[in-house]
Amino acid sequence: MDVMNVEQARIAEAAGAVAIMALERILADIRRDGGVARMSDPAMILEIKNAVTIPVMAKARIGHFVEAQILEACEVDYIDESEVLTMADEVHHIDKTSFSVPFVCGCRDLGEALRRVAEGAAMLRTKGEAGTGNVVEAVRHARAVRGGIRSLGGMSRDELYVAAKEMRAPYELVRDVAESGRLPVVNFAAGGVATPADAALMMQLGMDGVFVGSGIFKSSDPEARARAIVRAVTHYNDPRVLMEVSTGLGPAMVGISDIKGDPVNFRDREGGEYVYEGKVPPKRNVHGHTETQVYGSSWAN
Amino acid sequence: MSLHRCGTIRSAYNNIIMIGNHSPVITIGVLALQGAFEEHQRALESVSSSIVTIQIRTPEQLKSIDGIVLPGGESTAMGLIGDATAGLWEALREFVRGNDSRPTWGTCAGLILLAERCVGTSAVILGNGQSLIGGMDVLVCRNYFGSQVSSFEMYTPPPPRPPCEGSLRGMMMKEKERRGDDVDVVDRSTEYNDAPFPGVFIRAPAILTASPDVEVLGRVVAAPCRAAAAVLRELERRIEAGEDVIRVGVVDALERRAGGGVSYADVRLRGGGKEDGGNDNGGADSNDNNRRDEGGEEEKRDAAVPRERIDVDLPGASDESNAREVICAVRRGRILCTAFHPEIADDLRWHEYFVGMVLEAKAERSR
Repeated sequence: MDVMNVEQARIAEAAGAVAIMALERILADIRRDGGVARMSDPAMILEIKNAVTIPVMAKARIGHFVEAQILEACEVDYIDESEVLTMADEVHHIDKTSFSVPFVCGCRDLGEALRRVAEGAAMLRTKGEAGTGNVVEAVRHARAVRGGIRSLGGMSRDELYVAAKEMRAPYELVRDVAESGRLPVVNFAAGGVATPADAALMMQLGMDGVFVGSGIFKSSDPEARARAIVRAVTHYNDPRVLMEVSTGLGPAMVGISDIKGDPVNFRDREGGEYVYEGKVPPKRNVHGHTETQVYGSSWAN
Repeated sequence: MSLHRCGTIRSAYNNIIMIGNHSPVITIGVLALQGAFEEHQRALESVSSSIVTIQIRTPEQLKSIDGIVLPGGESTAMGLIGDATAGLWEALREFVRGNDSRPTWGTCAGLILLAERCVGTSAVILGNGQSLIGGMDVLVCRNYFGSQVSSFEMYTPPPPRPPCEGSLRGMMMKEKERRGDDVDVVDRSTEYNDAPFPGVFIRAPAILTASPDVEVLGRVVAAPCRAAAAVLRELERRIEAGEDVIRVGVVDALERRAGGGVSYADVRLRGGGKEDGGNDNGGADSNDNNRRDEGGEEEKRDAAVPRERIDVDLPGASDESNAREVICAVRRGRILCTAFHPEIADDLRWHEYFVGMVLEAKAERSR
């Protein structure tokens, strides 16, 4: 669960969260307010670590390995190399193998998942679309990963070489997934989970756990909602319990229903290839909002 | 001997094919509120094809099982999730400690649930009163070794020989014969070997003291992390004050300076008391983690535990002088506890030992 201070951390812990994410601004507010979103203040992270007994995570910008070094020095339990912060490197992700703290990274499909695992990610999560309260992207990403794994299962070796090339992932990892029928690391649901039913939906789609961000502290009764979502994740296959926990929670966060039309796009932020020709590429022609808000970058790549 | 293939691939993990269409020899439950329950299931099912595991989430499910594993995970979360299911803790207490108790194995967080005394527990659990199961008379320090970066793997003493006459396989066969099943048992249980066991410690608890009737099966030497050291200092203070300590919650381990800087408090136990004079440059934020640096190395050398004895040296440890011997595996009657995670060690000996406990108890109960 995403928390911004000690008080919220205690609420999350008391609700049964297995870990919390220390953030300076809740994702829905990062969406709304824009500006450069960065790593949190270590003092705030230490205070939260001091107040709770469950693991504390923190986010570093994509490619910002020094933020990750600082977070490791804070002894956070996990680092989220996160697309919701402004990208610090448009090409390279952090070399996560050079850290002893485990990383979690977002993915939209199997190829992206395996690219992150190749870089040393110890855990994955769907990217979803954070801060929207709309689970549709998380569902899309969860299904894409699951479908990708299933389709590898039926492939012969020559097809796997091509599959690895097409999904831009190392062949060895692709082969391992094809053989084992599952990802080599755990995969959580994240990005838009707002209700107990959303959480159980993601679990039934095969996720190993759920990250809830804005969904809790943007709702009318955070404590009750947090408890309900925790129970929904444990009893995700028991509709009677799900009915019980979904009852009387008050209004969920309002959220954003038109994700395609929303000016902010966290999910498509990923380091990638581009050709640097010695000058800043021309700005893309986008009206109304800056490209940084739309793509996390004003550089086309 | 009739060999029926019932054709079920029991576990994709090891491709063990179940032979025989009879009911399993033993059924072991794994508490599935949160944590590493699937890994335990895989490991247990790898020990023998005649073991069936089920995930336990409700009190009713306890009736059908011969033993239970309380897996690792977050004990706070498990405690709270368990609270939300009416009667679960009562049923588990009856299962673990009642007249008809059956074997129970707690690993990591499971150990915390079984401990009679626990320090460093979450404030929210403390407020909720009794949600631990108990039954193992030990004093546990939660998260003794530190956060995720301080997770480590080290060799620990091997588990004892499985507690049953003859081999595990022999016990299985005997149990089958007793029931009149005419089927073969395929298992992976091996001859006993006494090589050290690779213990994986992840945000692990440590057992500080155990009552005399608890059998200690393994120890390691390590310094507590800074947060745990703050808790231990509070514990020592209370013990000195003559208190019978059952529970100590989280203790504030931070020092805050006027300029907004935060750093870990200097926590030295066992009459340390020396002030850490260095590193005071007027409240700069960058000072936060200097305290664990090598600055005070010279004066720490004369501390209580000589350096050679420290098995584990972790980032985030409070101070070498705080190092002490802690217990990582215990057994008392039908309760087994390990502080580490045998289910991810790729070594089944502790699982075989527990299966032996379950078989032994089952034989006793059927007499």
